[in-house]
Amino acid sequence: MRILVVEDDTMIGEGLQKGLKQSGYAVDWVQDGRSAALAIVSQPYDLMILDLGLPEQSGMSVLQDMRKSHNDTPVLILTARDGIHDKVSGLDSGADDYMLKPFALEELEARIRMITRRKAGHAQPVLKRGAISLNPATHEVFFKNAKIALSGREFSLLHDLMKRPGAVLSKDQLEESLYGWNEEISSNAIEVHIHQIRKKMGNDVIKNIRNVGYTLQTAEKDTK
Amino acid sequence: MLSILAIICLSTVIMVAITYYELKEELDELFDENMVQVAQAIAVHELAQKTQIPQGQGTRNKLKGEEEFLIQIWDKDTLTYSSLPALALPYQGEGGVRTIIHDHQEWRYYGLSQGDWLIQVSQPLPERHSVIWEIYSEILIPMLVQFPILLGVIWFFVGYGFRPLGQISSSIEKRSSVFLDKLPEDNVPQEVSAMVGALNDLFERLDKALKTQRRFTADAAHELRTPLTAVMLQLDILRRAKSEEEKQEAVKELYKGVERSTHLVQQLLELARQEPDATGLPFERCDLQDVLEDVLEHYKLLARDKHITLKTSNSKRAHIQGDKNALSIMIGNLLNNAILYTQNGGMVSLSITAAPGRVMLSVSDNGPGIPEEEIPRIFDRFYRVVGTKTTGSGLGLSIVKTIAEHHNAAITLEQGLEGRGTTFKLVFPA
Repeated sequence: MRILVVEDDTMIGEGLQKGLKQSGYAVDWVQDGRSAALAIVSQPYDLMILDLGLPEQSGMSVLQDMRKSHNDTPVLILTARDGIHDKVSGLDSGADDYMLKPFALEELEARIRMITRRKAGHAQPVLKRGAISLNPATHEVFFKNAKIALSGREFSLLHDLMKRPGAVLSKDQLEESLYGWNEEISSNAIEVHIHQIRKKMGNDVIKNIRNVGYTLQTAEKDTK
Repeated sequence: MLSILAIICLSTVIMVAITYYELKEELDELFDENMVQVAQAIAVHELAQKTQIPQGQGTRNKLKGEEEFLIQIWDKDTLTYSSLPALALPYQGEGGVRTIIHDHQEWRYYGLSQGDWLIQVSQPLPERHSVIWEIYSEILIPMLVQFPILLGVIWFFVGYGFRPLGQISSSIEKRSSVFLDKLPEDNVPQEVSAMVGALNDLFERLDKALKTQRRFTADAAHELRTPLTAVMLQLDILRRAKSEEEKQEAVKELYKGVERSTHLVQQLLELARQEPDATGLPFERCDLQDVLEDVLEHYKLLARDKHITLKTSNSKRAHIQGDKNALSIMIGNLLNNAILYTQNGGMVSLSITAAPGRVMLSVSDNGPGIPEEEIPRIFDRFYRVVGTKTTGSGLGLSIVKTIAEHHNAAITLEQGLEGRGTTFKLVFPA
């Protein structure tokens, strides 16, 4: 899952990037409104964390422009502006959530999960596909009722495949979702992660569709 | 209002009394004079010719009002003539005008002797006073009639005249720190329009000052949240860190965040301390060169770290009137900015020049300079030039500006060294 952080303050931007990466998110960070507007059209993001007081172009105007051009990327406003008016106009301009600084990273991540769940159209905090159940909050994965230990990126990859049932994701899409800008990525990184998951959960778990990408083997009969 | 009416009532009563006594005195004098003249006329005309004076007739025992006197002529102690024989006023003897008692009544009496003759002219006082009352009432009635009318008119005009004042004071009462709108200036009588204008002027200045203060507080609260957010974030990261290296990194960032908060708080305090209305130290004569050298000592280390050459032009003494502490903070901020924003290995130069009537201080660098479009905003509180990588409070130059204004110094920006960078030039009145 890839997140765009728009935050002009260097310390907070760096901190957010680091903290979210610890939780297995791919994070890109820009420091002004114009760069945010550029980034959002050049790449699909699962979520945008947006500060309001930005140089060049205000956060609110970035959000309004996005919605005007029918970009539906979920937006979480993260700001020090605590006025009711700011909150109302932020939410009414198309933000999915509004959070005040200072904040706890845990709460921010809980809200990110909530937005993701809502976007996928379900309210259950635990995702279930066939014999796999995945809890984004605790980073726990159970396969046939046994707990499976996955690395951060392996977890994120499985999470992506599980978000929408029957979805087929290409290798490029997975790379984009797992790695932020400036992150070293080897040409066979995705294959390595898939290999690791298959090793822990069985070869049948992820199906390879030639020249298209990867999908989850969900039907019960296949795994039985 | 009531006091005005009370004064009017009191003065009317006094006026009525004074009028009565004045009138009585004047009429008394007039009648007395009449009596003397009548007596003298008789003495000259009648007695001189020794003519037989016809005796008064009838049994009338009352004088006909104020215009008649009782005239008696005595030859020694024998009454030879009486204008009203029924009124037997006894022999009184000679004497000026005086008051006597006869028949339980007060009389005004004048006696004029001429040889053996004595001319007695007299008048009962009640007769005389009745005429005084008659005249007095003729004056008093219009006065008493006019009094309530006058009172009403005054009541009306004073009320009418003071009504705008009442309206103004009730609308002033409505004003508060959050509602400082101007008072309406139309329909205000000329007498108070100057006052309303001055009040409006005051309201406007007060409102502006309050708004600035409120915005500053809001901005400060906002700015204080930023380093706090960074600190909280680093704490979360520290808590989750898995490796020792990650932990070390987070702790380092944590320190930076705390330092940043501390710096911001210090700058805020400094700014508050330098506010024009803050009670600062009185100005003293100080040598700007000395202040500059003191400040320079503090920044040598920072400059060395960045391999920046600090140049000071050797100048003569330059005395100005000022607050030494504030001046060193101001120079410190300018020097700090110059060193911080200039690339490693750059150059920062300070110079003081004295001219008749003024002293100039300039801080120049050969750094990247400030983009033209940013210059108007760099002195704004919390404003930071876009894309600035260095962390700062955004208050340094606001403090510089406040101190400069306090010292009546003008700040201008010019190009820095080697055709690039920035020069901050301050001109002090010497």
